[in-house]
Amino acid sequence: MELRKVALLTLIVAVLMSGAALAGGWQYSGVGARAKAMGGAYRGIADDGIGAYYNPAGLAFLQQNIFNLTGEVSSPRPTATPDFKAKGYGFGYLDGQKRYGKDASYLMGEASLFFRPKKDNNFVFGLAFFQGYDQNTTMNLYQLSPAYNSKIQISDVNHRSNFDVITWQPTAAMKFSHDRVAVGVGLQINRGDILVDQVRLVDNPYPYPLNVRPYDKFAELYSVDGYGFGVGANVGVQFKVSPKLTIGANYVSTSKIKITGDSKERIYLPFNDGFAHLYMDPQASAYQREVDSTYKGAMIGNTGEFEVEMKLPSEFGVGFAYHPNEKTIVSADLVYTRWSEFQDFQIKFKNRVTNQKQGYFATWDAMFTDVAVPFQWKDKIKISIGLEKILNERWTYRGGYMFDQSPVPDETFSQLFLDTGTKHHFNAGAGFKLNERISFDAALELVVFSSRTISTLTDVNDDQYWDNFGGEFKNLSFNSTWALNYRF
Amino acid sequence: MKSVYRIIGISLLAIIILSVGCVKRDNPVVPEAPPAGLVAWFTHQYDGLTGTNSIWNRYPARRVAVYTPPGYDFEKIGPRYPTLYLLPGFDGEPSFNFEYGNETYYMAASVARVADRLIASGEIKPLFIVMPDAAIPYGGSFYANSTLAGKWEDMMSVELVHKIDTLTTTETRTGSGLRTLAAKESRAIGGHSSGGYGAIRIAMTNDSLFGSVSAIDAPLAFDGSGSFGGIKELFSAYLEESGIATEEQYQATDTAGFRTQPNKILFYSMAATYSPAPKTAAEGLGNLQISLPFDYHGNVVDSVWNRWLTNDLYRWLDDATYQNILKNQNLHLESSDHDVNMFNQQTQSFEQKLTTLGIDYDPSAFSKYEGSDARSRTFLYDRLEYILKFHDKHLRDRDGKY
Repeated sequence: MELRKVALLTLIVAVLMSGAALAGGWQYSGVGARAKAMGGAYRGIADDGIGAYYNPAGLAFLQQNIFNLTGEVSSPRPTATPDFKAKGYGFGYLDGQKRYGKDASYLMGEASLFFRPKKDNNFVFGLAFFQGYDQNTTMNLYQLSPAYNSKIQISDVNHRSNFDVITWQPTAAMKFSHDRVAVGVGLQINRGDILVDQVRLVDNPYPYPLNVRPYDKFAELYSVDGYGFGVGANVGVQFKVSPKLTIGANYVSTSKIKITGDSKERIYLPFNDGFAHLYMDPQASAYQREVDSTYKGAMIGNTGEFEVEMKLPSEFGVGFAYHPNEKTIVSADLVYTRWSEFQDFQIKFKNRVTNQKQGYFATWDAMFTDVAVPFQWKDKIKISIGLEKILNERWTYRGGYMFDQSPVPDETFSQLFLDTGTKHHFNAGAGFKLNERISFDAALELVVFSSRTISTLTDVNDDQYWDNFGGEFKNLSFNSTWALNYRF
Repeated sequence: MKSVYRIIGISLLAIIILSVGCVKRDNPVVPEAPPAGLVAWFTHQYDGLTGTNSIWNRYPARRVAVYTPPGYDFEKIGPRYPTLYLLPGFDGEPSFNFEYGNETYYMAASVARVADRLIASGEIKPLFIVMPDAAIPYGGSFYANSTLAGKWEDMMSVELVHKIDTLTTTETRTGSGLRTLAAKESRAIGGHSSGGYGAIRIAMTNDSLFGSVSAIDAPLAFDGSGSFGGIKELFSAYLEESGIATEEQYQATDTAGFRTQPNKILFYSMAATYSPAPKTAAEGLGNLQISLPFDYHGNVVDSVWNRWLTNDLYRWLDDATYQNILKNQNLHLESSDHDVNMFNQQTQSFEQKLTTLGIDYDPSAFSKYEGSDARSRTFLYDRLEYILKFHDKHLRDRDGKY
């Protein structure tokens, strides 16, 4: 295959995959079939194209030009049992009902193309494309109770979150000191996507007794859909301590992604004719009309635009690969992720256009406010171990495990990021070498999440909105990865 | 051969994991809204308002709201149902409106939908819920017979019950009567705040009418108990709210702006019921025809205060007759942790005395959540579930079942 054709194919695949790249878990458990089969313990290896994700320095040890094409299928299976109550008082969430996510299998993809120019045997360069972050959940967790509004019902898609970050990483690597030391540098061009449908409870702006329960909170459903770009860097180093032992380390910088897009806000007003004609004074007649309109059970809202900044965390990883013999690799990684840098989402709405032609009141308008989603996540570590065993000239078997802590505290845990707890990744896979140019790799992964129970609603930023979600949450994810490698 | 087994094994593992991962789970169906009952209205010209002066009987024909269970057909012969009477409290807030009345007090707490849900789930029997208007010009009734405010105790007991049980088809908006079970065992009465006081009072004075009674945060101990001063705790709040520091200011007070002065509405309403005074009365507020039980310093005026105390149900418990009535009554009392009028503490004082006297009652307590309004009416919607379930246990249906 001609070099130009391979490059073109890589570019096409990268563009096509960017639209379909969906999976479960915010920071995806890893990329590449070989690496994932080894639990992501790959910083001391990283000697193929997709290794650019783990450690750009490993590319320096490529023996040939390489093209890699990887497909991943991810099947997250989250379960939520809402218990969204304050002191035992409910607000319309489907408390006590076990709710499943919209079960689906999502396709995501990776590709890479790297060259080793013959004239300089120490230098490698190329492009890697992968999706490092993803969260995708759709759940029906809320319904308007008949006591609140018996006239209309809220959309079944009332809790959806789809966050993606896909990365194009032009990378260069070089080795020194008689092939014992290698360094690599990658420029990360990140595209972040946000799609959210979320109910939040707005304080009833009207005075007592108009704000008695079940009208103490009005139900708002806001939706945002947009994308944006940011840049970052991934730098790495590898050191061959001995012919059997290689250690590696990499650092991924933080990256700020400014996202813009379309927004939609809807507030489902209550219905109760018990409030009709509450204020009969002639002087208060205008107010009476407003009260009557408010409690007629209408849906008010607007369309517009939004912007938000997504700040990806930096991370530092170290690892080693040990070759006890020519057919075996034992590897381990430790990654420290500064999730505290993933601070919050401050979603600012603008250019709102109301859908009300008439009878719109300033009090209603004031209910539509910007959305602040505080995270206050904690810095956490991941530990991976992996094993690779070459059985014969065609077959290679692999296994791995990753221990991955959840950075999300109970105070900000919600269905937006269903990282319910410490994750245990169990991985297995195989490689098949068809000939000297073509090989295949496959990996299976089972991710077992610890469950989480949120029993107290909290408002960590004092903005009158609860920042966590009461209930019991469980999650499980099945992933498979399939790769084609072409060396030339 | 060995490698074949390996391949087969790995393939099977892959198929199992992928198959499990592809399984699609069906969500439980979200329950549909239960069948809805209707709220009908009719008006009634109370005998108890006849003969009062022109201000107080300005609107003698008062509205009564009645919840009818799902499927109830006014036009067809069908089963009879038990009846719960819910007496309204009132708010010291701009919400109160004398011209319109307060029969919507419990509708604002969505009582109809609470009843729908409990009936549909089988947690309570189908029933009627009668919600009368008990507003007076100074606020809300305190359910005693008054020469000024009207004979509310009589009106909300014998007169209203008789009216409901004999309602004709031409009197309801829908053109039909109510098929009630006209017996004590099939009637219950309850209320919140002053409505709770009215319910307990009427149950104590009309032993033959109701088979169960309930009250939420009701003023049941005017004089408090122990270190708690009862309604006296609010004397200074009234003076402060009205900006009264002198005798002249005390006498000059009137109803101007009273809708935004909750303590003024409270004391005027109670005084209109318990201590009406002729315009010439020495201790009275002449223009308002009422006397307050305290002076402009907040000191108790014994001659008025003693009149109030004759209406204090806490003191009524010293009477063996009332003790026996309550011993034979099904009684449910609820108190919150956050009533601005401290009626919750009055209810707790009353509960303590019941316990001392060995009178059984069904107690319940509730809290507000952080950030919610510090008024017990805020949670009426939630408490109505408990109230309806309590009364259901003591309401006899047409088959004689409870």
